[in-house]
Amino acid sequence: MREQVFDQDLTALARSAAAGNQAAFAALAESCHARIFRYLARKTGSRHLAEDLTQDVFVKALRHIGRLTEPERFVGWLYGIALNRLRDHARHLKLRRLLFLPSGNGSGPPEDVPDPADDLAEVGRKEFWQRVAEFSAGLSAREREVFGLRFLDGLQLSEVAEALGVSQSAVKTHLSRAVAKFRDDTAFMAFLEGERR
Amino acid sequence: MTHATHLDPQTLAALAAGATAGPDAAEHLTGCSACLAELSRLTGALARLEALAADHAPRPIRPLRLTACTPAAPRLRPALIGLAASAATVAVAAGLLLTLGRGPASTLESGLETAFMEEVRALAEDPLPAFYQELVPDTGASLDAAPSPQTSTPDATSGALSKGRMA
Repeated sequence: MREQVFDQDLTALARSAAAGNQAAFAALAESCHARIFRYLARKTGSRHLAEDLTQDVFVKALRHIGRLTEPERFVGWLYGIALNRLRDHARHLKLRRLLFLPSGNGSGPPEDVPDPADDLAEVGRKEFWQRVAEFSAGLSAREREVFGLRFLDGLQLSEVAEALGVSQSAVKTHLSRAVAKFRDDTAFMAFLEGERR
Repeated sequence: MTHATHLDPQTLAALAAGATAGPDAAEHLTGCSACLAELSRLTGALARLEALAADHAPRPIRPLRLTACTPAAPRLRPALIGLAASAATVAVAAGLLLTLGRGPASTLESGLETAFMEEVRALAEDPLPAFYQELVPDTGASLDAAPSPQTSTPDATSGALSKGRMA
């Protein structure tokens, strides 16, 4: 219920922002900043790069918010912008590699800039993401993308479909396969069940 | 569907992924505690995964800076694209015209050049053109301090010129 109210708030804000209300857009950005950063940090493995790309995503969203004809699809639309920004960045890196240029701050290993947290929490965080990485390695690219958006970024099926520009039935197909692999990964399942206790 | 034939793993995975149960699967789930427990275990693990991913996610430190940018007018963008397309079309058309026009332009240039060369040739043959001779018919004579019968006419003012014309 709380989630529904939140989604309704987002839709109302998106409608207002699309009509030109910059304060509404600022509130939208405030609401979605952390989750877009989280998605980009997961995809790039770099805090600094994720911060830069997140900034780009919201600047682009602000420029094009007037084109958003269905405000209830704002979240999926925003993730779509983030995905396109990632693709642009990947192309840029590929071009730099072709030209034998340094790849900049996006090509290095994941930066270890921990959040303010105690050591135990940091260990738990690292182990969790290590387990996620091991499980994800067994998925196809499309399964990984769909599964990540749904269960690691917390998007609804309709939002995943909007972000990826595919139908919901296609999302369900890939997600079913990924969940079947998740079910078969007894070590990962046991880890999660252990974390529950 | 009897309890002996439980839901297959793909169906359970699809249901956990958010698919709607068909009539048969729904009926089976109402009567099969094993399948219901398996589905519940799977959805619980996925929910736990989602919660842990949120808990362990990094948080942004740098604040967003959106004050410096202004949103583009939504209806202006297609107009700008149309304008740019028109400008590009005009530029291409102009380029084509210029390219195609190189024939006539070259002809004109070569024509002018031909006329110029004819003029130069005429000057070489006759350094005092007819109009000049008409204006100053006696110039050659007056320039000669000591006119002689051989040099009294402009044609005879310079042996070289005469030679040139005669050549």
